[in-house]
Amino acid sequence: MKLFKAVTGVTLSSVMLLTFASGAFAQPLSQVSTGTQGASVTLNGQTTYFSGSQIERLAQVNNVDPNSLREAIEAGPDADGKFSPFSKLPRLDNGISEAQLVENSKQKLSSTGESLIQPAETSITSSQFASTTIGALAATTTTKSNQDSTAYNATGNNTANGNPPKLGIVAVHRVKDITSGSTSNSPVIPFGTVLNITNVDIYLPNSGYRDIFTVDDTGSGPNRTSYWIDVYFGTDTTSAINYGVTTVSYTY
Amino acid sequence: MRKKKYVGISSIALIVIMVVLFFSMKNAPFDDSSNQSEEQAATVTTETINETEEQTATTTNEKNNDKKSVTAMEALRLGYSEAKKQTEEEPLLISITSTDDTSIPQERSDGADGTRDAWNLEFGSKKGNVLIYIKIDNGVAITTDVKKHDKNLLEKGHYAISDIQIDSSDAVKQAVEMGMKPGNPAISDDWIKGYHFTIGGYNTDPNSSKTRLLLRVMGISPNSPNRENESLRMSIFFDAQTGEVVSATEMTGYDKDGNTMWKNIELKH
Repeated sequence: MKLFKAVTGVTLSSVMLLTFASGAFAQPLSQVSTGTQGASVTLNGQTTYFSGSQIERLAQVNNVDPNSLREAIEAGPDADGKFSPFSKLPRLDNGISEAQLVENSKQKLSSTGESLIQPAETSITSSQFASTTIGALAATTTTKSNQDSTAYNATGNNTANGNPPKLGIVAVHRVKDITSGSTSNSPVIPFGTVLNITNVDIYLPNSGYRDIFTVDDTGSGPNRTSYWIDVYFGTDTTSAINYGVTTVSYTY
Repeated sequence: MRKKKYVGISSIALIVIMVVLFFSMKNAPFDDSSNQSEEQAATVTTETINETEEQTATTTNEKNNDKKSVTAMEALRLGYSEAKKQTEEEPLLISITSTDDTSIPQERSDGADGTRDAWNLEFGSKKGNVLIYIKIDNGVAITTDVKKHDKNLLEKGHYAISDIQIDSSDAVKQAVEMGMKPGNPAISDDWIKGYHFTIGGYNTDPNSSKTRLLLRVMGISPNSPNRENESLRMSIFFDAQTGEVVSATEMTGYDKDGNTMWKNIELKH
């Protein structure tokens, strides 16, 4: 009888331990059903796979359609030679507030576990020195508020400004992309302009947080705001995808 | 007798002139005063504009006279000294870039000797606990922002001054020998006015996250047509640690989608 009790006790304990270890109780409440197929992309000989549940979660956090996201990942680099799936996807019109999307941004982690976006005022502390734009010493400062930002990986191509890419650069629309009737291929913000992001600091893979970026590329963001920026994320595809769409404000 | 006659005629003429003047003033329109004011205003305005233009011209000339330009290495040393004031850590360079000072008229000759009056620099520490932004304006280094992070998650600095073995003054000479032209400030769409310079770590290998320290000279391609809207740009990259030319490229135009097209320039060894 004692032996029976002991065996039963051990068995029950093992079942409970296995249940906890399987993570059944660790799933977030907002976990969505996995009706979407997985997708993979190969850049520079390296393949990155995203499972169906990962894609659904990314779509939910960034408020885009999961199937469109999967297709955009599968499509690989665009005509510009950039891999920037979120720049092509419209946000869903389903009543999710900007505040909720900002809250969602806190869940965005790099491939090595760092939070990709941090509010500018927390964690990173500015010293007593004035925080000013260090771009061209222009007489006036331009502010662009509530603009979309996405992240891209390059595929060996130089930037539209003729340079090998480097962390700290961004791509912007061409003038013709946002101006009806225009044929100008010039960037909407001139190359070399330094943008000072005012609301968040962005974690760049294998590098660290920064809030100063230089315009050195153009890109295609047909569903993004007029002064959208596409942040160069080097070769880290997972981090770029996890960055999704993030609202930024900046000055130059 | 004749004298008296002349005095009489003169007196009559004087009286006639006075009478005519009197009537012409009396019959003058009512809005004469406003016309006069407009006239006065116009005069004042013109004077003011002329005065302002004169003042502006004077100021501009003064600025041009005061324009103090430095090479990349000079800017780097100035920036380093300023960065040292902000941290006990050793400031290591992330990047340095010449920029346009739009408060002063740009000239085609800007950068032709490797010097510019405005530079932006970024320094970090080896640990990643501090990030310092500095600008050089007319030979003066100014800290524009300092960021600190307790968990050492800021972008790290990489390069010491001693890592850089070529200055912009030497690089631009070689660039000019290779045919690079200065950007024309009259073309507003061109961001390159004169010659521009950057030193920083570039991702030259798409299969690696490692960077290579390069000095870039940017200007206009000798094959660029004399267009009014946008010129065709040219870049030459030097290995900053050896001074050797790594690559040179020139823009050839745009493809049907509006993407810039570039071709490599064959290097003479």
